[in-house]
Amino acid sequence: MNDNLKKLDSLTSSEPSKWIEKAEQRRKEERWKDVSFKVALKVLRTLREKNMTQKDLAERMNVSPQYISKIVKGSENLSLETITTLGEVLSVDLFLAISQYNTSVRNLGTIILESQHIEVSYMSYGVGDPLESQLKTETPTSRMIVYSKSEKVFGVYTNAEAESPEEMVA
Amino acid sequence: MRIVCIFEDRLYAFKYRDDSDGVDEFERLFDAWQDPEFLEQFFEANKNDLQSGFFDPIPTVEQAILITKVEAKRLEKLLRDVALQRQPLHDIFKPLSVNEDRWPFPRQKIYGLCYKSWLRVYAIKIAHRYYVTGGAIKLTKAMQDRVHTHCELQKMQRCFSFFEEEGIVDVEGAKELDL
Repeated sequence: MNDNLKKLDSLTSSEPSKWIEKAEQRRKEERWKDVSFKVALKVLRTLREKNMTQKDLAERMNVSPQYISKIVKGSENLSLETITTLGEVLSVDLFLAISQYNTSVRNLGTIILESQHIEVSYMSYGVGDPLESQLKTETPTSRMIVYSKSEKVFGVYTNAEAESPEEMVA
Repeated sequence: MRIVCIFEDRLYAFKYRDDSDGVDEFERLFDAWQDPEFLEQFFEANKNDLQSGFFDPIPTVEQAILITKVEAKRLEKLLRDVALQRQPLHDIFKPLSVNEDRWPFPRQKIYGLCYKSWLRVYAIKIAHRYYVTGGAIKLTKAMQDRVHTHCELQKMQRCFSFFEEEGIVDVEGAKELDL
Protein backbone atom coordinates (compact mmCIF):
# COMPACT_ATOMS: atom_id res chain seq x y z
CA MET A 1 0.00 0.00 0.00
CA ASN A 2 2.77 2.41 0.92
CA ASP A 3 4.47 1.82 -2.43
CA ASN A 4 1.32 2.67 -4.27
CA LEU A 5 0.67 5.77 -2.21
CA LYS A 6 4.28 6.80 -2.81
CA LYS A 7 3.71 6.27 -6.52
CA LEU A 8 0.63 8.49 -6.32
CA ASP A 9 2.67 11.11 -4.47
CA SER A 10 5.29 11.05 -7.20
CA LEU A 11 2.55 11.84 -9.73
CA THR A 12 1.40 14.83 -7.72
CA SER A 13 2.57 18.27 -8.77
CA SER A 14 4.73 20.17 -6.31
CA GLU A 15 2.48 23.17 -6.83
CA PRO A 16 -0.75 22.76 -4.81
CA SER A 17 -4.27 23.68 -5.89
CA LYS A 18 -5.10 27.36 -5.76
CA TRP A 19 -8.59 26.59 -4.50
CA ILE A 20 -7.96 27.15 -0.80
CA GLU A 21 -6.33 30.51 -1.52
CA LYS A 22 -9.23 31.54 -3.73
CA ALA A 23 -11.81 30.30 -1.20
CA GLU A 24 -10.15 32.38 1.48
CA GLN A 25 -10.15 35.42 -0.79
CA ARG A 26 -13.84 34.93 -1.62
CA ARG A 27 -14.63 34.73 2.09
CA LYS A 28 -12.83 38.00 2.77
CA GLU A 29 -14.55 39.78 -0.13
CA GLU A 30 -17.90 38.14 0.43
CA ARG A 31 -19.93 41.26 1.27
CA TRP A 32 -19.13 43.42 -1.71
CA LYS A 33 -18.89 40.46 -4.06
CA ASP A 34 -22.45 39.44 -3.20
CA VAL A 35 -23.60 42.88 -4.34
CA SER A 36 -21.41 42.76 -7.46
CA PHE A 37 -22.88 39.35 -8.27
CA LYS A 38 -26.42 40.72 -8.15
CA VAL A 39 -25.51 43.70 -10.32
CA ALA A 40 -23.82 41.37 -12.80
CA LEU A 41 -26.86 39.12 -12.91
CA LYS A 42 -29.27 42.00 -13.57
CA VAL A 43 -26.95 43.43 -16.23
CA LEU A 44 -26.67 40.04 -17.97
CA ARG A 45 -30.43 39.44 -17.89
CA THR A 46 -31.10 42.94 -19.18
CA LEU A 47 -28.58 42.57 -22.01
CA ARG A 48 -30.27 39.33 -23.03
CA GLU A 49 -33.72 40.87 -22.82
CA LYS A 50 -32.71 43.87 -24.91
CA ASN A 51 -30.67 41.73 -27.29
CA MET A 52 -27.56 43.77 -26.58
CA THR A 53 -23.96 42.59 -26.43
CA GLN A 54 -21.36 43.45 -23.82
CA LYS A 55 -19.56 45.36 -26.56
CA ASP A 56 -22.68 47.49 -27.17
CA LEU A 57 -22.80 48.27 -23.47
CA ALA A 58 -19.11 49.16 -23.40
CA GLU A 59 -19.61 51.57 -26.29
CA ARG A 60 -22.64 53.22 -24.70
CA MET A 61 -20.80 53.65 -21.43
CA ASN A 62 -17.60 54.71 -23.15
CA VAL A 63 -15.56 52.12 -21.29
CA SER A 64 -13.48 49.17 -22.47
CA PRO A 65 -15.07 45.76 -23.18
CA GLN A 66 -12.61 44.36 -20.61
CA TYR A 67 -14.18 46.55 -17.94
CA ILE A 68 -17.68 45.28 -18.83
CA SER A 69 -16.31 41.75 -18.74
CA LYS A 70 -15.15 42.32 -15.16
CA ILE A 71 -18.57 43.72 -14.24
CA VAL A 72 -20.48 40.72 -15.61
CA LYS A 73 -18.07 38.34 -13.87
CA GLY A 74 -18.98 40.05 -10.58
CA SER A 75 -15.31 40.72 -9.94
CA GLU A 76 -15.41 44.52 -10.05
CA ASN A 77 -15.82 46.47 -6.81
CA LEU A 78 -18.35 48.91 -8.24
CA SER A 79 -18.77 52.51 -7.19
CA LEU A 80 -22.22 54.01 -6.69
CA GLU A 81 -21.54 56.19 -9.71
CA THR A 82 -20.84 53.18 -11.91
CA ILE A 83 -23.96 51.37 -10.74
CA THR A 84 -26.04 54.47 -11.44
CA THR A 85 -24.55 54.94 -14.92
CA LEU A 86 -25.02 51.27 -15.74
CA GLY A 87 -28.64 51.51 -14.67
CA GLU A 88 -29.22 54.62 -16.76
CA VAL A 89 -27.67 53.14 -19.86
CA LEU A 90 -29.71 49.95 -19.49
CA SER A 91 -32.88 51.75 -18.29
CA VAL A 92 -33.10 49.54 -15.26
CA ASP A 93 -33.03 50.22 -11.52
CA LEU A 94 -30.01 48.24 -10.36
CA PHE A 95 -30.42 49.29 -6.73
CA LEU A 96 -33.91 47.80 -6.77
CA ALA A 97 -32.48 44.62 -8.32
CA ILE A 98 -29.90 44.39 -5.55
CA SER A 99 -32.63 44.48 -2.92
CA GLN A 100 -34.90 42.13 -4.86
CA TYR A 101 -32.32 39.44 -5.44
CA ASN A 102 -32.73 38.36 -1.92
CA THR A 103 -31.05 35.17 -0.81
CA SER A 104 -30.60 34.12 2.74
CA VAL A 105 -29.87 30.98 4.65
CA ARG A 106 -31.21 30.81 8.14
CA ASN A 107 -30.43 28.17 10.70
CA LEU A 108 -33.48 26.90 12.48
CA GLY A 109 -31.64 24.74 14.98
CA THR A 110 -31.20 21.07 15.62
CA ILE A 111 -33.97 18.54 15.71
CA ILE A 112 -33.87 14.84 16.43
CA LEU A 113 -35.53 12.71 13.81
CA GLU A 114 -35.36 8.94 13.79
CA SER A 115 -32.60 9.10 16.40
CA GLN A 116 -30.47 11.34 14.23
CA HIS A 117 -29.47 14.86 15.11
CA ILE A 118 -30.28 16.98 12.10
CA GLU A 119 -29.29 20.55 11.60
CA VAL A 120 -32.16 22.32 9.94
CA SER A 121 -31.81 25.47 7.98
CA TYR A 122 -33.37 26.93 4.91
CA MET A 123 -32.48 29.02 1.96
CA SER A 124 -34.84 31.58 0.57
CA TYR A 125 -34.71 33.57 -2.60
CA GLY A 126 -36.68 36.08 -4.59
CA VAL A 127 -39.05 38.75 -3.48
CA GLY A 128 -41.73 38.06 -0.97
CA ASP A 129 -43.19 38.56 2.44
CA PRO A 130 -41.10 37.60 5.44
CA LEU A 131 -40.94 33.89 5.60
CA GLU A 132 -43.48 32.09 7.68
CA SER A 133 -42.06 28.66 7.58
CA GLN A 134 -43.44 25.38 8.61
CA LEU A 135 -41.60 22.14 8.80
CA LYS A 136 -42.53 19.09 6.82
CA THR A 137 -40.72 15.81 7.23
CA GLU A 138 -40.31 13.36 4.42
CA THR A 139 -40.01 9.77 5.42
CA PRO A 140 -38.26 7.47 4.98
CA THR A 141 -35.38 9.55 3.64
CA SER A 142 -35.10 11.64 6.81
CA ARG A 143 -34.73 14.70 4.71
CA MET A 144 -36.07 17.95 5.94
CA ILE A 145 -37.85 20.35 3.68
CA VAL A 146 -38.84 23.75 4.88
CA TYR A 147 -41.76 25.47 3.23
CA SER A 148 -43.05 28.97 3.51
CA LYS A 149 -46.48 30.27 2.61
CA SER A 150 -45.29 32.83 0.13
CA GLU A 151 -42.35 31.21 -1.58
CA LYS A 152 -40.56 27.93 -1.85
CA VAL A 153 -37.49 27.49 0.23
CA PHE A 154 -35.12 24.62 -0.10
CA GLY A 155 -34.48 22.78 3.11
CA VAL A 156 -30.90 21.92 3.87
CA TYR A 157 -30.01 18.72 5.61
CA THR A 158 -26.89 17.48 7.27
CA ASN A 159 -26.23 14.22 9.04
CA ALA A 160 -29.19 12.71 7.23
CA GLU A 161 -28.59 9.65 5.12
CA ALA A 162 -30.49 10.50 2.02
CA GLU A 163 -29.83 8.61 -1.16
CA SER A 164 -32.37 8.94 -3.89
CA PRO A 165 -32.84 6.66 -6.88
CA GLU A 166 -32.66 9.52 -9.35
CA GLU A 167 -29.00 9.99 -8.49
CA MET A 168 -28.04 6.52 -9.65
CA VAL A 169 -26.10 6.42 -12.85
CA ALA A 170 -25.75 2.68 -13.29
CA MET B 1 -2.68 15.73 -17.22
CA ARG B 2 -1.48 16.25 -13.67
CA ILE B 3 -2.59 15.77 -10.10
CA VAL B 4 -2.55 18.62 -7.61
CA CYS B 5 -2.88 18.48 -3.87
CA ILE B 6 -5.73 20.24 -2.06
CA PHE B 7 -5.37 18.78 1.46
CA GLU B 8 -2.34 16.60 1.95
CA ASP B 9 -2.97 12.87 2.08
CA ARG B 10 -6.72 13.50 1.82
CA LEU B 11 -7.97 15.44 -1.16
CA TYR B 12 -6.45 15.86 -4.62
CA ALA B 13 -7.68 17.09 -7.98
CA PHE B 14 -6.90 16.45 -11.60
CA LYS B 15 -5.63 19.19 -13.83
CA TYR B 16 -6.26 18.27 -17.44
CA ARG B 17 -4.25 21.05 -19.05
CA ASP B 18 -0.54 20.88 -18.47
CA ASP B 19 0.19 24.56 -18.87
CA SER B 20 0.63 26.68 -15.79
CA ASP B 21 -2.48 28.78 -16.54
CA GLY B 22 -4.76 25.78 -16.38
CA VAL B 23 -6.91 25.36 -13.31
CA ASP B 24 -7.55 22.08 -11.56
CA GLU B 25 -11.04 20.62 -11.54
CA PHE B 26 -11.87 21.50 -7.94
CA GLU B 27 -10.79 25.10 -8.45
CA ARG B 28 -12.67 25.28 -11.77
CA LEU B 29 -15.95 24.16 -10.20
CA PHE B 30 -15.98 26.70 -7.41
CA ASP B 31 -14.93 29.46 -9.81
CA ALA B 32 -17.72 28.57 -12.23
CA TRP B 33 -20.43 28.13 -9.61
CA GLN B 34 -19.82 31.65 -8.34
CA ASP B 35 -19.43 33.25 -11.77
CA PRO B 36 -22.65 35.06 -12.80
CA GLU B 37 -21.74 35.04 -16.49
CA PHE B 38 -21.11 31.29 -16.59
CA LEU B 39 -24.27 30.56 -14.59
CA GLU B 40 -26.47 32.81 -16.72
CA GLN B 41 -25.29 31.11 -19.90
CA PHE B 42 -25.56 27.64 -18.40
CA PHE B 43 -29.09 27.96 -17.04
CA GLU B 44 -30.33 29.77 -20.11
CA ALA B 45 -28.94 26.95 -22.27
CA ASN B 46 -30.43 24.30 -19.97
CA LYS B 47 -33.70 26.06 -19.20
CA ASN B 48 -35.85 23.15 -20.37
CA ASP B 49 -34.16 20.77 -17.92
CA LEU B 50 -34.34 23.30 -15.11
CA GLN B 51 -38.03 23.82 -15.71
CA SER B 52 -38.95 20.20 -16.49
CA GLY B 53 -40.89 19.89 -13.25
CA PHE B 54 -38.33 17.85 -11.32
CA PHE B 55 -37.57 20.92 -9.24
CA ASP B 56 -40.79 21.99 -7.64
CA PRO B 57 -41.83 24.78 -7.66
CA ILE B 58 -40.13 25.48 -10.95
CA PRO B 59 -37.23 27.92 -10.50
CA THR B 60 -36.69 30.76 -12.93
CA VAL B 61 -33.24 31.17 -14.47
CA GLU B 62 -32.53 34.03 -12.08
CA GLN B 63 -33.59 32.00 -9.04
CA ALA B 64 -31.48 29.06 -10.20
CA ILE B 65 -28.45 31.33 -10.47
CA LEU B 66 -29.00 32.78 -7.00
CA ILE B 67 -29.51 29.33 -5.47
CA THR B 68 -26.36 27.98 -7.12
CA LYS B 69 -24.26 30.88 -5.88
CA VAL B 70 -25.48 30.54 -2.29
CA GLU B 71 -25.11 26.77 -2.35
CA ALA B 72 -21.62 26.91 -3.79
CA LYS B 73 -20.62 29.36 -1.11
CA ARG B 74 -21.99 27.09 1.63
CA LEU B 75 -20.33 24.04 0.16
CA GLU B 76 -17.04 25.88 -0.16
CA LYS B 77 -17.27 26.99 3.47
CA LEU B 78 -18.08 23.46 4.61
CA LEU B 79 -15.09 22.02 2.75
CA ARG B 80 -12.79 24.71 4.10
CA ASP B 81 -13.98 24.00 7.64
CA VAL B 82 -13.57 20.27 7.12
CA ALA B 83 -10.02 20.86 5.96
CA LEU B 84 -9.09 23.16 8.80
CA GLN B 85 -10.65 20.97 11.46
CA ARG B 86 -9.35 17.80 9.85
CA GLN B 87 -12.77 16.17 9.88
CA PRO B 88 -13.19 12.96 7.89
CA LEU B 89 -14.00 13.35 4.22
CA HIS B 90 -15.99 10.13 4.04
CA ASP B 91 -18.90 11.92 5.71
CA ILE B 92 -19.11 14.23 2.73
CA PHE B 93 -18.47 11.87 -0.16
CA LYS B 94 -21.09 9.30 -1.22
CA PRO B 95 -20.81 6.45 -3.73
CA LEU B 96 -21.65 7.60 -7.25
CA SER B 97 -23.93 4.63 -7.84
CA VAL B 98 -25.18 1.55 -6.03
CA ASN B 99 -22.66 -0.69 -7.75
CA GLU B 100 -19.14 0.65 -7.65
CA ASP B 101 -17.49 -2.78 -7.25
CA ARG B 102 -16.96 -3.16 -10.98
CA TRP B 103 -14.54 -0.23 -11.03
CA PRO B 104 -10.88 -0.52 -10.02
CA PHE B 105 -11.54 2.10 -7.35
CA PRO B 106 -14.91 3.40 -6.21
CA ARG B 107 -16.30 6.48 -7.88
CA GLN B 108 -17.60 9.05 -5.43
CA LYS B 109 -19.62 12.26 -5.41
CA ILE B 110 -20.37 15.21 -3.20
CA TYR B 111 -23.89 16.62 -3.31
CA GLY B 112 -24.66 20.24 -2.80
CA LEU B 113 -26.17 20.80 0.62
CA CYS B 114 -29.70 21.70 -0.44
CA TYR B 115 -32.64 19.43 -0.86
CA LYS B 116 -32.60 18.25 -4.50
CA SER B 117 -29.34 20.05 -5.02
CA TRP B 118 -27.99 20.03 -8.56
CA LEU B 119 -24.35 20.59 -7.59
CA ARG B 120 -22.04 17.60 -7.90
CA VAL B 121 -18.33 17.07 -7.34
CA TYR B 122 -17.01 13.77 -8.70
CA ALA B 123 -13.99 11.88 -7.42
CA ILE B 124 -12.21 8.55 -7.36
CA LYS B 125 -11.39 7.10 -3.97
CA ILE B 126 -8.03 5.42 -3.53
CA ALA B 127 -7.36 4.13 -0.04
CA HIS B 128 -8.37 7.03 2.22
CA ARG B 129 -7.68 9.64 -0.45
CA TYR B 130 -10.12 11.32 -2.85
CA TYR B 131 -9.03 12.40 -6.34
CA VAL B 132 -11.47 14.93 -7.80
CA THR B 133 -12.06 14.27 -11.49
CA GLY B 134 -14.65 16.98 -12.13
CA GLY B 135 -18.14 18.07 -11.29
CA ALA B 136 -21.30 19.46 -12.79
CA ILE B 137 -24.65 21.10 -12.39
CA LYS B 138 -26.85 18.05 -12.84
CA LEU B 139 -30.43 18.82 -13.84
CA THR B 140 -31.46 15.45 -15.25
CA LYS B 141 -31.98 12.01 -13.79
CA ALA B 142 -28.97 10.19 -15.21
CA MET B 143 -25.53 11.49 -16.03
CA GLN B 144 -25.83 9.90 -19.45
CA ASP B 145 -28.81 12.13 -20.26
CA ARG B 146 -26.81 15.24 -21.11
CA VAL B 147 -23.50 15.91 -22.82
CA HIS B 148 -21.98 17.93 -19.98
CA THR B 149 -22.72 15.26 -17.35
CA HIS B 150 -21.86 12.36 -19.65
CA CYS B 151 -18.53 14.08 -20.21
CA GLU B 152 -17.89 13.77 -16.45
CA LEU B 153 -18.24 9.98 -16.70
CA GLN B 154 -15.75 10.01 -19.55
CA LYS B 155 -13.35 12.11 -17.50
CA MET B 156 -13.50 9.51 -14.72
CA GLN B 157 -12.71 6.83 -17.28
CA ARG B 158 -9.77 8.90 -18.50
CA CYS B 159 -8.49 9.17 -14.93
CA PHE B 160 -8.74 5.40 -14.48
CA SER B 161 -6.68 5.01 -17.66
CA PHE B 162 -4.14 7.48 -16.32
CA PHE B 163 -3.78 5.49 -13.08
CA GLU B 164 -3.46 2.31 -15.09
CA GLU B 165 -0.76 3.78 -17.33
CA GLU B 166 1.13 4.91 -14.26
CA GLY B 167 0.89 1.47 -12.72
CA ILE B 168 -1.56 2.39 -9.99
CA VAL B 169 -4.45 0.32 -11.21
CA ASP B 170 -3.70 -3.34 -11.26
CA VAL B 171 -5.74 -6.09 -9.67
CA GLU B 172 -3.39 -6.78 -6.83
CA GLY B 173 -2.61 -3.13 -6.34
CA ALA B 174 -6.24 -2.16 -6.40
CA LYS B 175 -7.10 -4.75 -3.79
CA GLU B 176 -4.18 -3.73 -1.69
CA LEU B 177 -4.93 -0.04 -1.88
CA ASP B 178 -8.58 -0.49 -1.22
CA LEU B 179 -8.14 -2.40 2.01
